[in-house]
Amino acid sequence: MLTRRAMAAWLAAAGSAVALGVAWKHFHHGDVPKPPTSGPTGELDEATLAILMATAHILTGLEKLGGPYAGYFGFQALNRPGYLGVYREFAEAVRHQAGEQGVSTYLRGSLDDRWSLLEKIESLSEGRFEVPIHRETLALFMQTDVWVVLGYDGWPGSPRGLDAYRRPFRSGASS
Amino acid sequence: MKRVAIVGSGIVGITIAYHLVRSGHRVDLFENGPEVPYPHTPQFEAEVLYSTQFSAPLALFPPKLAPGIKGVTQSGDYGRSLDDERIMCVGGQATRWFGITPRLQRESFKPRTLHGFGTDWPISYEELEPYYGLAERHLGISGSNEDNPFAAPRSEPFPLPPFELGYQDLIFAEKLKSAGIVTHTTPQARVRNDHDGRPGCQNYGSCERCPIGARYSPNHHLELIRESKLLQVHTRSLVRRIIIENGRAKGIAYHPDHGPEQKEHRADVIIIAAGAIESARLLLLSASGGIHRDGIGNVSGQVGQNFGMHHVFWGELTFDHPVMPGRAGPPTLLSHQFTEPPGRRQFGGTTIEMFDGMPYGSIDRIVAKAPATGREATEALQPVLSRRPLTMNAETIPGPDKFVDLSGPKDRFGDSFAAITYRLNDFDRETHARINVIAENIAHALGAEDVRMPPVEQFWSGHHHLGTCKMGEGIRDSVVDSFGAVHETAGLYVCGGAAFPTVTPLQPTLTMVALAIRSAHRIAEELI
Repeated sequence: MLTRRAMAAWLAAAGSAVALGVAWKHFHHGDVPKPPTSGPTGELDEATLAILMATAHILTGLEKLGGPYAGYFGFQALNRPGYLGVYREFAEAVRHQAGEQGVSTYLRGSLDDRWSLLEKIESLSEGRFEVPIHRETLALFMQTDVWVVLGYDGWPGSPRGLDAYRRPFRSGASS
Repeated sequence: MKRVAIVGSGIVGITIAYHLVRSGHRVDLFENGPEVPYPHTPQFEAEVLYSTQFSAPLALFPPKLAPGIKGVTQSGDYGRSLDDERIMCVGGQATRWFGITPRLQRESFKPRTLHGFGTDWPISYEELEPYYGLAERHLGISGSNEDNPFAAPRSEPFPLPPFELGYQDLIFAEKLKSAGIVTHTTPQARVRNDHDGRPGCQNYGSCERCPIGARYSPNHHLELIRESKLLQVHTRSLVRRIIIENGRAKGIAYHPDHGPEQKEHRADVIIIAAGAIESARLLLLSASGGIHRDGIGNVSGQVGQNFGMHHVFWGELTFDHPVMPGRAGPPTLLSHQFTEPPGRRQFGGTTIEMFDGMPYGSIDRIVAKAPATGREATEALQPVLSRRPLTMNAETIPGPDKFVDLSGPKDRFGDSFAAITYRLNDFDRETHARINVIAENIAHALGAEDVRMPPVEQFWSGHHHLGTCKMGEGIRDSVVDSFGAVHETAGLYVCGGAAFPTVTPLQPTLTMVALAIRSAHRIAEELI
């Protein structure tokens, strides 16, 4: 679960990203992109998962992820045909694009640098990563961590106990 | 020890199996679908934890059946797929349900006598009352009658205390009370505390897909008798016919593992508990000669007739301030005040559900707009904080345009799939008009900026498929008696929602289980 300090850090980081003009661009125009539907399924390797998790940090702006992102990527790779291949392709694109700077920039660099890399990778991908990586990561954020960012005690789908919902909302928003 | 064959392993089939096995009888349970893990953790992972769509999650459980095994065709006014709504697996529909379990009201059993429409049930509330108590203990119901002045009288308390109303619920309840609308807690098959080997609820907020078994699933009781040598579960077994000899049901014909070989299974009693659609289909497919020329139990011509569904309308209230939805269960705030409205005859009653749930539709629409960053997503979701679901669960009435027959295409063994016709009638439309008035009144009482209810055609069945083998007093106008015994065929029962003669505004499952326990007791006595 996110702490208030983590939430404040997130707001600052996200605000900074916008202020620096590195906001996300949509690469599709007209056609709604589709998720992969065919290809092998299987277990994700750790290196690919690390890159996907770094992407989740970049997209959400969260320093500390509370939602089940790693489980999600692993679940998709194991159960949804084509996802494993797209994830690996994406990881390879990150390695290729990172070049001399090395993948560590993408994993641990400044948010601005990581945004720039991600933006470049997506712009060269012809929309292949948009649904399975970009949209779905943010959709998972919208099912989970966003509720904590919005002030809830926990996200729906996590065990929240039977006391908190009977108390006033902690921000005092409820009236 | 006698042999019993049960077709269908949903909440009714497993309830009867559990009671008969505990009575010392041998039970063979036939299920068209596969086993699913219990507790339903993998289902929760696929449909909640790793889902990116609140209202239409990835449904991996149960796995899809092979082509030609399951299917219906439908015509009329229902916009959703009835076939998709039928969850074929061990545990059936109750592997995925909210668990809302009110008793019917005393008046629910006598619509013809009291209001001049529909059909009276051949059983009264008073006769069923002790079995309601047994059913509530069986399912582990958390609830209270103390705050519900509309509930029928009861001879014993709920087995578990209720889930308390939330902070916002109490604010709403007070405002509604000032406007003359009485609300109360929701009886639910979700255990408030540890109970009967099930862990107490931890408020995952996804009752439909409970990862720990706090919400009741029939698989709980199946596991309790699983090791008994008296039970055998036949999964992926398609039952094609009921075998009748000398006017008595003697067995069933089925295809194990959906394979080409047809086998016969003999039993002293056959119980059909396959839901309203498949139960009627099996009786019709089993037509032979004489009084069974139009199907078994069909002397009255009622098999397949009287098909009913709930009309659930998912609406939404919008406020000018945050009300922070989705902090609880979700079933919390409920009202049964309008289930028996004055003047009831041209229109029906409804329940009002203001559950503390997420407004799923709104959220999914925002997700579909694909916000580009976490910050954009957060800002886009802000309006959701000022919304609250408002759901009405409406009564419906049978009619000549609501039925199941065998005019569908053939399955892989050459038998016709069921075809369903379902057209709205004047009663349904008038009930919907009344619901809109109630919704407006609620919005006004709560000071909501806006209330949106869907048009009448956009109802949802709640997966409550009822009727088709209705219970009644005699062979001329009904299929079974109040125990589910088929009138003209000894040794054959049809149990569950298929036997309901009416569709009341209240959720049917507790009544199905109470009737199932009553049938099980009767069958066990007969078999001694």
